[in-house]
Amino acid sequence: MNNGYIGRILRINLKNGTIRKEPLNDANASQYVGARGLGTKYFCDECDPACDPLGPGNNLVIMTGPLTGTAAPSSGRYNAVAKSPLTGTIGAANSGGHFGPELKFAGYDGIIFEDISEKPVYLYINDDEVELRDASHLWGRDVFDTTEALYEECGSNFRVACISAAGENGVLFAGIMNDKHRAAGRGGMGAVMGSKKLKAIAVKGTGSVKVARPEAFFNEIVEARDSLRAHPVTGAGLSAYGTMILVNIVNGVGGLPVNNGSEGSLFPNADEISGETLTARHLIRNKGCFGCPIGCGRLTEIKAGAFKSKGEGPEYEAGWSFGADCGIDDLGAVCNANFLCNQYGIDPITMGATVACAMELYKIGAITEEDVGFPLHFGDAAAMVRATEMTCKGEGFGKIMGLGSYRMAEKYGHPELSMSVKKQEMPAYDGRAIQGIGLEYATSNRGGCHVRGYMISPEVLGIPQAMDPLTTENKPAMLKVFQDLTALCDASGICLFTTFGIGLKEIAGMYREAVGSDESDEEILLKGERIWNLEKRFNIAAGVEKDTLPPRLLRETLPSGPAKGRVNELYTMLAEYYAARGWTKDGIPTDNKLEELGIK
Amino acid sequence: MTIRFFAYYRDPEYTGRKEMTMAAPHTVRDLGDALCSQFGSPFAEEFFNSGRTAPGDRIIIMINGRRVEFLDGLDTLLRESDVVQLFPVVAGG
Ligand code: SF4
Repeated sequence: MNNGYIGRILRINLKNGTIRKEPLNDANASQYVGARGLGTKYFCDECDPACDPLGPGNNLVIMTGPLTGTAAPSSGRYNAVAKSPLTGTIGAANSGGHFGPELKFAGYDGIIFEDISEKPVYLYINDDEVELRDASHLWGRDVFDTTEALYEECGSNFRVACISAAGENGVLFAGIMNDKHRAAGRGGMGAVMGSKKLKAIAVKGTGSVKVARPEAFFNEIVEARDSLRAHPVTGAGLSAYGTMILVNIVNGVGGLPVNNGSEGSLFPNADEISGETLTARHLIRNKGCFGCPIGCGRLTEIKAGAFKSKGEGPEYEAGWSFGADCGIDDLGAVCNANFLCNQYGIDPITMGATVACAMELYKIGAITEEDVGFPLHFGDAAAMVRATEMTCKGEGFGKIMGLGSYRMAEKYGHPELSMSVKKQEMPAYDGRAIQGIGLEYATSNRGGCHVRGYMISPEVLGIPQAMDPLTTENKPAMLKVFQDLTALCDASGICLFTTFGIGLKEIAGMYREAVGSDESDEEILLKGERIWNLEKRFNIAAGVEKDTLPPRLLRETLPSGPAKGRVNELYTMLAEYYAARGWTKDGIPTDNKLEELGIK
Repeated sequence: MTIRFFAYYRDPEYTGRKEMTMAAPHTVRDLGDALCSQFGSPFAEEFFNSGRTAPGDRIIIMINGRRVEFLDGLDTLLRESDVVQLFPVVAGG
């Protein structure tokens, strides 16, 4: 097709081994764009919200967007969509690298995996040749090893997405790793893949993606790329320091949670785990995803000492979760734990935050050395790395940590010590010091998450304009726009980081010319709102708990820093947020709203 | 007072420093003048906007963790005990 889409998807039934090539549902593509949006639409139309996330009724949908694999900047993205075993919400995890574009070059917008295979398999795609192949010899192997083995078996020019033993063994926050280091990380999409006995997807394609109005598309791209180049963040900052550059500034506003948030959010040694330090001491070189002019990824190495290791990352969130959140200022240990997460394909945000929660349980005596196998004090770098490795490998206490902090803390009688929303751990910003991000955590459709509506942009970074992190005014309306725009961006197939330098005008412009639409910017943004409401409707049908925050954020005041004495004012913001969304006061999309958005 | 520099403001061509102390100037504007004259270009192009009415587009100026935009802007009064943090506009996530 000549409209950004390939026009075809693969439907794989893992139980009976059937492979079907079917036309893309054009009407749904036009309504839900692609990737996160279209993947969710396919999922919701075919799966029961009450399904067991690790059972046969939970489809796993891999979906690209209309801009994926085009010349649009940072267009290497795809989404994995399924019901999340961690949260019970819709799970949609986004990843970059080169896998998504390659799937389109092979001739498919997406893949729907149904049911469960009897024995381990991987999906082989070489343009039109599609096969389910035996993966018994790969079962149990880690991400790097599996990827290498598949390069050898299929060809080094294949792109591989896979899981490790963590996904196979049901670590509830196992992700899907592609191109070795890129992760569809959050919400346990790797555990869903493992439950299906699907070890990997290896793909190679020789086609290309055609757009509807090539000349106008080209002009939009030039404009978007110029804007990205001209912006200090997307033009220079992100590539120079990576995302870890945030450590000092978030700590600067007193918003970097320390020791599971139990000791406020000012970390005295933040500079030791900062982007500045990582760049000065450990950076080998930058790495970027498909077609990305930003190139925020980094190849890093710890050259000596107990944590000698080499790999990609860490990103800011992992820098915090293994660092300040565990009271650790040893960047070598932080990198080492993060590398383990890549090697074993698990979400480093949930991993680090779960270790931090275990450290607090240990501190109050709810768990002991006998439970863990060794002392687990805040600040003990070696213990943190060991706990991470045990979880990756499913050993001892690692089996309990593999359930995430909520289930672990609940088991030991202290669910309130899990810093999670809807059982997914909140990332690296304290909602007591930065009010709007607290509202985002509470309302995110996949549980504690920052990248559904990144309020840190206005509240800390001043992009597109500065908002005071300590106040609640105008945050609900702003968050709604951010969430809708993010859904649109994710669905289009480009990286969310572009939105530091470009906005609705550019994204809608590229989308319009790629798909050949004449819709206005506002009509295109409405697709983001449609996606958001569809996700929310699924969550309500699945019986997901109400939007709230851990009691610590609502009741325990911050002990120091610029936000001293504050809690998150969630209930001041929530009613206004629901009103801005046109939902009931209990946060339920009304029939009118769903009808207005054309959600059936 | 203490002044801390971050990201590329630490590079030799900007300030070459992570941290410095000085006697507190009267206001943030006075602090900007002192730093711009001490470090010269390119740092001097960062601190103020073109009309010297607000911080420049590429800098975040915080006093004790609060952006000056939410205090009294460049007229914010400074005290000896203050910690000033200067960040170029950065992002991540
Ligand atoms: S900005 Fe970073 S994560 Fe996004 S596409 Fe570019 S390299 Fe990948």
